[in-house]
Amino acid sequence: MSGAAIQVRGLCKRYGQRAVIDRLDLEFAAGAFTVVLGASGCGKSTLLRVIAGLEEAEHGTVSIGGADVTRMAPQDRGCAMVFQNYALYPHMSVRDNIGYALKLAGLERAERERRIGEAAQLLGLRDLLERKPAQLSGGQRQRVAIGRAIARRQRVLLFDEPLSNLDAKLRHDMRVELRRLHDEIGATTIFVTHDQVEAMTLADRVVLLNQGRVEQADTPMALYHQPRTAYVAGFIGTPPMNMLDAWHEGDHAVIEHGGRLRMRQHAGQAMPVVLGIRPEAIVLDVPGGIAATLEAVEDLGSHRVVYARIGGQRVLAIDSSRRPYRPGEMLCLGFPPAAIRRFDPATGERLPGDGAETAA
Amino acid sequence: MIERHPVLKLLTLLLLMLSLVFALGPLYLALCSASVTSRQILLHGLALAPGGHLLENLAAVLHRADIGHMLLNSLVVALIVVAGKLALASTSAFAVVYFRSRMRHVVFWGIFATLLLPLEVRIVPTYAVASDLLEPLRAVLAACTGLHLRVSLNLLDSYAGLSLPLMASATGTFLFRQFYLTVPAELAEAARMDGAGAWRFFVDILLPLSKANFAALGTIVFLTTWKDYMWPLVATSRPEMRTIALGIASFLPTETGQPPEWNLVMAAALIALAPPLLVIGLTQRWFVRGVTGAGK
Repeated sequence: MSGAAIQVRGLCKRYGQRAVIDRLDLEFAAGAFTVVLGASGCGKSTLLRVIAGLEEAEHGTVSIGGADVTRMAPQDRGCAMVFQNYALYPHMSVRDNIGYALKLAGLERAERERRIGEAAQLLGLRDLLERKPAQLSGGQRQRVAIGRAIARRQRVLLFDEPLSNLDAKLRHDMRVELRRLHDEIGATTIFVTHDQVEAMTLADRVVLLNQGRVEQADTPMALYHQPRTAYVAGFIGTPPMNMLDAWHEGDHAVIEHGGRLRMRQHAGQAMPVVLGIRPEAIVLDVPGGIAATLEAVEDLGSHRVVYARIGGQRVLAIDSSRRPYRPGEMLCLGFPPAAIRRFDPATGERLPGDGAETAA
Repeated sequence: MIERHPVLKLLTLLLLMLSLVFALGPLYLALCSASVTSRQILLHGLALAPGGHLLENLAAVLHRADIGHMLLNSLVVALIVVAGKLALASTSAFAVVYFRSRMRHVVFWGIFATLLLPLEVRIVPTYAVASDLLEPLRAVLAACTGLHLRVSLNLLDSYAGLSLPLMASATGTFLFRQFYLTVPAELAEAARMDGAGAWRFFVDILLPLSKANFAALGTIVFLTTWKDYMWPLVATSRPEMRTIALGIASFLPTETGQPPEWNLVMAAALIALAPPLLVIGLTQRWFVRGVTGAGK
């Protein structure tokens, strides 16, 4: 089974007066695992449901495998979907849940049994086939829901926050399993989530939505290291990228109460900028670095999160050393030039050309 | 919250006992009075202790009236009404809940408003329609085209006439609507993705899920139809179409000077009581789940 490419063109969707999706253009490559990421209410679920055909597009078109499906009924679009709350039929056994769509599609009994068996094998459901959903744990129900989707062998698999009801451990296991399944099946997969960890670990490509518009669509690593906007930088990463208000003047940037950074770019006239730096990129205890006051330390075992203050602005840094800390002590933070990103404070867009050096 | 205060516990117990007395007391009186002679009741009022004439009275009832036929009539009518009402209620609720239409709220509240018009209120027009089902059609036709049809369809003294007016019911629609609203929307969407049309979804998913509601509504409807007195009284005139509720009443005196035979009335009531008891016994497990909404 191979996937089909999906194109979304000029899509608009409104609920009442509020535009949930606003002139959206997106492409999902055939066979790719795309994660649609965003805060709640950003329109990601709506996008998925429009692609599935459960919601109608107000304007714009959706095409799957080159065919315009905008006005097509859900079952004719060649999509299978996994729902957030699994949506298993409570009165049917696992076998019947998986086989229901196959039966409706008019497959013969032998073929149905074969496909149910395969899906069950793939998801470790062999011993559960005669159970009812109520007799299954959350993780098992999730597997059945996925099995029901893949047994149909559609070209497109849609996931609507499928892992959000599982506990942390199970979520991790299912992530690994989903990725493996995708590599085995090869259907075009769209996976909607608000969890950036899922996006980072699962996706070939991440589409970050913000208020019905695409904030950035790229590989997970590109989103992490080259965020196009301050919103992306703040959304991705735990803890997220530090954002510091500064003045760029000539070849220096000044952080209030912190000190001066020599910048690689030259600003013709003084202008405000937002400097972004990942917590793990900050080097602690660099002589002559940016002055900061230590506020608190969170020890997570593998590393510690250091909360510090530069004037009125908070900075988070990751520290892997075992050095002792005293609250209130002064730190000298080193900002490696290659790790600094500059954003326009007015628009949130990233400014071209990265790099800055700590002042000597 | 569960209170464990001893006084409260005693009060609850007393309340339950009292309810039991109120519920079973009349039954006990009926049983006792059905087992004594008519003379004893006329002399001493309703019997408070069982006597020895129960079988004798039952035999007299069976001998005096065609109880078997009346039971059959009641059974047929009740079953038709149950089947019709369940079908109407479940499908109309399905339409109201699952189909997006501007009219659906109007339709639902329209159905709901019929709660204000029980059969007793509209019995005269209902009788008129039942006596000639085509009358409204003819009237419309005459008003619109000036044509006068000469056909008529009399439903009085038939099973159709006895059951049809009792079928349409807002309570049934409401019960099913409330249940359908608790069914997760995702389930309907999953069925759509699986390729199930509206009818398949209704038959394959909703019907099995609402088994308890069917049992509950079915039981209630069976009981109300079984004990309904007014409509069968109005809609039947031939003795062979009489239902058991009318049968019981037939033991009451119709002419002055005729002594009432309360022992026979009570015996007939006991006979009439048996089928509903059987129905409740068979459906009570589902009935409780359906009424309390735990039947998911």
